[in-house]
Amino acid sequence: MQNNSESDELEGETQSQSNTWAAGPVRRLPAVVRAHLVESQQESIQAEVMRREGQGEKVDIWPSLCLVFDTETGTDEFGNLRFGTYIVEFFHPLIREVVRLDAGFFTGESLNESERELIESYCKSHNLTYMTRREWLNKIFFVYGYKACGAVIGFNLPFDLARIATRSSVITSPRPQKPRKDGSVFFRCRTCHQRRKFQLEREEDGSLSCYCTVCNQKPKFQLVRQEDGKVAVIANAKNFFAGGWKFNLYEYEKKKDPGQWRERAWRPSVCIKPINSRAAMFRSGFFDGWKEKGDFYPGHFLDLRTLGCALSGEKNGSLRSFGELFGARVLKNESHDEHGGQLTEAYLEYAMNDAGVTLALYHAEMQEFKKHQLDVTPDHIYSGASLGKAYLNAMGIHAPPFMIVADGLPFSQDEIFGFGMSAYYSGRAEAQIVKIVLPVTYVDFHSMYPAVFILQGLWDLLKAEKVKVIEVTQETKDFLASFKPESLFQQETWKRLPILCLILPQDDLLPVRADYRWRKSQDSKFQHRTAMVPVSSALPMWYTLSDCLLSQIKTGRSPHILLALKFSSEGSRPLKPISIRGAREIDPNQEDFFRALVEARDRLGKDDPKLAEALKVIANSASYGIWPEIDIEDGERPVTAYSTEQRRAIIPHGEKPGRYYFPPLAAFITAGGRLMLGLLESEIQKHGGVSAFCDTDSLAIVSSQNGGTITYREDRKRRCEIPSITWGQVDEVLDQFNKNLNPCRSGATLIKLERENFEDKDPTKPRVNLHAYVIAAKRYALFVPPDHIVKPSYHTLGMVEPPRDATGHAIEDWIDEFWKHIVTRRRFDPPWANQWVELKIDISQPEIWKSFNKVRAKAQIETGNKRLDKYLSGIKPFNFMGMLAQSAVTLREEKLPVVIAPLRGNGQTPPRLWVAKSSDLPVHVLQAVDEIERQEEYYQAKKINQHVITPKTFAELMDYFRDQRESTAVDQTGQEIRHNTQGRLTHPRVAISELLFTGKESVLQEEIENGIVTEEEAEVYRFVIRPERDPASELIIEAMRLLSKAEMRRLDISRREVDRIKGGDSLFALKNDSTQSRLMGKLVKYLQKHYPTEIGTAQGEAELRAFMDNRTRLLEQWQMVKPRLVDVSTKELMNIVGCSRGTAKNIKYKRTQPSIETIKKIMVAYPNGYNSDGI
Amino acid sequence: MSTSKSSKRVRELQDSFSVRASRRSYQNRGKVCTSCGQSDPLLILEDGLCANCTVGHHHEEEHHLLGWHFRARRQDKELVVPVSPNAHRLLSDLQADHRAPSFDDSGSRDFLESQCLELLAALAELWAVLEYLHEKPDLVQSIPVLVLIQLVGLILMNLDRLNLSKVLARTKEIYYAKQF
Repeated sequence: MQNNSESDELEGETQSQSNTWAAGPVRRLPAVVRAHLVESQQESIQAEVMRREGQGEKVDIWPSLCLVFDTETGTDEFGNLRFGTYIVEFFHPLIREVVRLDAGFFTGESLNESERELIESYCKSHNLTYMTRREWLNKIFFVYGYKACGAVIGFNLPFDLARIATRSSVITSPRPQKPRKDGSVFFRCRTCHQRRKFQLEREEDGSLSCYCTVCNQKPKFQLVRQEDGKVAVIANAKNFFAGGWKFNLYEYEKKKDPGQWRERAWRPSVCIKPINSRAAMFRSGFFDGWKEKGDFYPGHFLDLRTLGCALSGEKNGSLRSFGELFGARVLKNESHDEHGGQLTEAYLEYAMNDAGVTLALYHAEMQEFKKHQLDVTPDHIYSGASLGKAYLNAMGIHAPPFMIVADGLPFSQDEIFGFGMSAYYSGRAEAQIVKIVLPVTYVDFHSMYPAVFILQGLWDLLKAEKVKVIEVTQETKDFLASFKPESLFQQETWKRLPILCLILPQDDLLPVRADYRWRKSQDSKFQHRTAMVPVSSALPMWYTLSDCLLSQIKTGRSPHILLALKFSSEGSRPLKPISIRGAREIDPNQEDFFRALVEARDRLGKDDPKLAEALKVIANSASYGIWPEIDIEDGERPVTAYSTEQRRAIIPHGEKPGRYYFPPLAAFITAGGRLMLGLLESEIQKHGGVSAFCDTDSLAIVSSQNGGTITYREDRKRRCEIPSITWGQVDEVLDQFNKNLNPCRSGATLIKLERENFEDKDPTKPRVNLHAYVIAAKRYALFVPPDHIVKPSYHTLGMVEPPRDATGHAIEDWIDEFWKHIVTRRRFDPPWANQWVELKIDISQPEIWKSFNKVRAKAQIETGNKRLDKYLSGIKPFNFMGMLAQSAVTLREEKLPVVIAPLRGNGQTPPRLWVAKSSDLPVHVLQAVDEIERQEEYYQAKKINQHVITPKTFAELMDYFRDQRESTAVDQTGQEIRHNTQGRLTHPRVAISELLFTGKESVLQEEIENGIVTEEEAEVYRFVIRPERDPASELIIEAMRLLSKAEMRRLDISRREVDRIKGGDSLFALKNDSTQSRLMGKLVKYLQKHYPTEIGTAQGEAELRAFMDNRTRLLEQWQMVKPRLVDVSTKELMNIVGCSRGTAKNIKYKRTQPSIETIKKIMVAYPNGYNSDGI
Repeated sequence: MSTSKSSKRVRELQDSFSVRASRRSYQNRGKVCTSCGQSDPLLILEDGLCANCTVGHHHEEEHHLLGWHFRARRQDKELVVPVSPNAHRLLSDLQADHRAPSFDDSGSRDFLESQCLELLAALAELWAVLEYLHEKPDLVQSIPVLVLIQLVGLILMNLDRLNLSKVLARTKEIYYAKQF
């Protein structure tokens, strides 16, 4: 068994110095590789591919009726609805015109009577409809949004839906159940609409199924029997939305009790599953009153922000910015920004105008969307990847290629996918020279992933009828032996790269995913980062040929290849011609779709740069993002993990492969990107240059107009020099790439100087003397001396709310100001230096919301519905909150709560009410700056039992930010980087102690880093799968399974472990070697003491086996005797066993197994079993 | 608003042409009449056939131009128009948006006005539906001359009492729905 310890071990002696970078001690780390996870009884991916190929896309149409609405809320942390505006429009099929059916206002419960009257009178005077929220939901939302099968449209729709809701809850998966004796389980029947008894049965193919004992219908969901014997439901609609939100909307007034309202359980709820901060999936929830199967309408909910981001490629945007971008007929008037202020006619007019603006944006976005001519509704477009998938679908690629394995190769398709997943690493982001001001040229690859996709000829694989996996070990070894880096400038060489290699790394420079932190706190678990390091491993690992080539370029040695698998295309699927955004017709049978997409983008870029960005996003995500796509499903489940080997485990959530899931393609593309970047670095090095940092597809090359050297002092004694090449030399290298490796014919370059290199970021103007200052990976700034910041990095600063000026307005360019102080090393003393740092939180994930669940308003709103009262007094999903960052310097060592407050509006000044998110105690934020005054304030606050919080100021944030260090690198001597380390960094030498498997990384990574959620709260999103137990461990567990529960408890095994062992959980494993040997010793001693006659004299394994044989025989005999004990009189049994009447009856009639001593006594009395004669 | 009024309003909304048409478009998406290949979702019935194929292609149904709101005129055979089953289905759906007059005096000016505009709207709808279904060539035959004569007669006889511009405006309003 391998050592499972996660701690680093520095090997004492330094290994042989074969490479210049690899100095210093070797870090011994467990490496983490991605795994391809297959659930038990899950339909194999290839079977699904076959099925999808036959099916194509489901027919769906976009409704002709749309309900657009917008809400206005209060500005407190609860964000309750004040009022809303809506417009209903209908495309009349007979007259072929859009007609407006209704428009008006609805008011929330938080408004007072006079405010309602004002809105009512406004509606009357403007010929608008007025309703309360409840009326509006029942009459407008239900009728148009559900009954009429219309579309519900909004900008940031989840937020608005949470405002109009009566109640919210988190959707969970049905819990696994242990079947009853008669083989039945209880689930909610979709036909009966009630909880019903389901009878389990086994299908011919061995899978588990069930049917409702009332209606005899088989459910749509799949069942799976877990290792512990329980039955779990997988893959039904509810399960898919599990981990999301359910909003109940409708209420009715009780006839017998006017003024009292109850929920209408027979009307549909709205389910929302957030995908990321920009996109969410929506669906109407199932409900009690749904009787006719065909009547259910899942709903069409369109968030214009999501569609806008997908169509434009923007990461975020406002109603106005998207309106401008898509050319909406009406634009938002941003002059009125007093949300939550007093209701006036002007405010109501502004609000009604907002609904009109939303409607105008809807028409504008739909116009843009229709240009793409795709057979998909706009509510299913979540990102550029969705558009890319729709294009592939339109041309007839409904699924990834069908894969077959050549005869003689002992691998299944799942194993091949596992190898591909194991070789999959993300792009490379590194800081190479830190904390020195350097003159640089910032270059960027133009659509790098589509470019490497085209260069490697992966389109042929994608459109192939079949992809055959063949072994090419010897050919690959020969290729590496004769490989010269210059050959990579021939496009033909790239076509040979889609090969997966199993290698035994020996000081090869390869990407390794590991926890590189030098110091890890007790409660901190996994923080994996990928870095290119010189790695050695006794365990073979999968990499792509591109990674092997890069290692060879850097080290001069070929990696030791054990096996190489090539993916070759066979045949071609007949594809349909399509048109890209209605502008360019392409025939995918003849030309590469991605090449056409990049070229279309280049042409469009001259006329419409913003929408060209959208095509870039489509090209990037469709050429890369959809191959490793995985959807997270809630609920623990057993899986088989395929990677470097096969392991079984129970994981905390399901990973459902995306529609075009094909891990080898993903691995080839990212590895191709790393090779391209590495090749550029290598060419720069040939000219005597170095790079300052790189980030996936960009590189900052240390260079100046005339070249030279930059001298810096590494410590008091040593002065170091960094070479700087000339701009001309950089251009020479770029020309070489553009001339030889550009796969497009549109005239655009493969690699280009970024806009930041030119005056006013305009490439037609002269170049500027660009400099870079790098702190760590992804934390850098590009500037023109002395302090004109051209491109600051937003990493970790992006979530911070801007500081305020004297009038309370946000200082939008504060990040530039922040970086100015860093690059000039000036004292940090802007007027806002002592303001508190506040993080903006979007409560979109249930994990974040749960931690705010205890926050309640002091004054409740009486609505006649207790559930609604509770909902209105709490923090709602999709609220925006401000979280106070706490100082690292606290007055007392204690675990402080996270404190929150509503986000501050523009122009608003303190004081604000801070509350603790998980405690009822009031919060006191220390105001005093002076240390003695602060002490006094602390004790005063503590006296009245308050949480005392020391806020982090921007000055403190600056100190923290400046001192950040690159954990994946070491200094020139191979030692850990200190906060003041400056100059060139190098890679740490790594020896891999063991291989851990993991799945998709947490979506809450940034929230965890910023302390918004703890690692425990986000635990469900991270796991590692360790190696399975060895045979010795298996034997011990097998022996323990034969012991009774009482006996196991006497061995100091915890109740939970006892249950898992007795429950037949074959995945239960002993933690490590020491636990194993401890338990082994204990078990043998225990058996010798209590059952000396049953075991022999030999030690260890033999004794255990002897014991197991005896015990198995005894229990088998007992199984024969037990059913016939009912014929023995109770008195006789009392005499034999020596027990009470009650115990004797239990032995006779109950199914529980008596103790071993009792069994033995009975067996002695009836050695041949009991018969009717009593013998 | 009381509960009964409220539920009445919801029912009226659910029966309106826009809601019905939108719902049918969704429910009959991708469906094609198995007999004649008609693919318009507004015309497909639950059994997968269009109304024409269910009843028979040569069958004509009688459409009452004033609908059931004008109960007093239900027996007027001259207001009945022979139309195809598909057209009848659409026309009946469109008629659901019309409101019954809230007065009983059949000789009053208001009643006459509402009857006139109802007739005008019904004719406009008839024209639009026939155009939509490409059945326009038969229009002349399908509208009894008597109906037109009666409409013109009604207007001429009550010219002094009728505000014609108001009638036309209301007709437009009914047909093109509410404009804001």
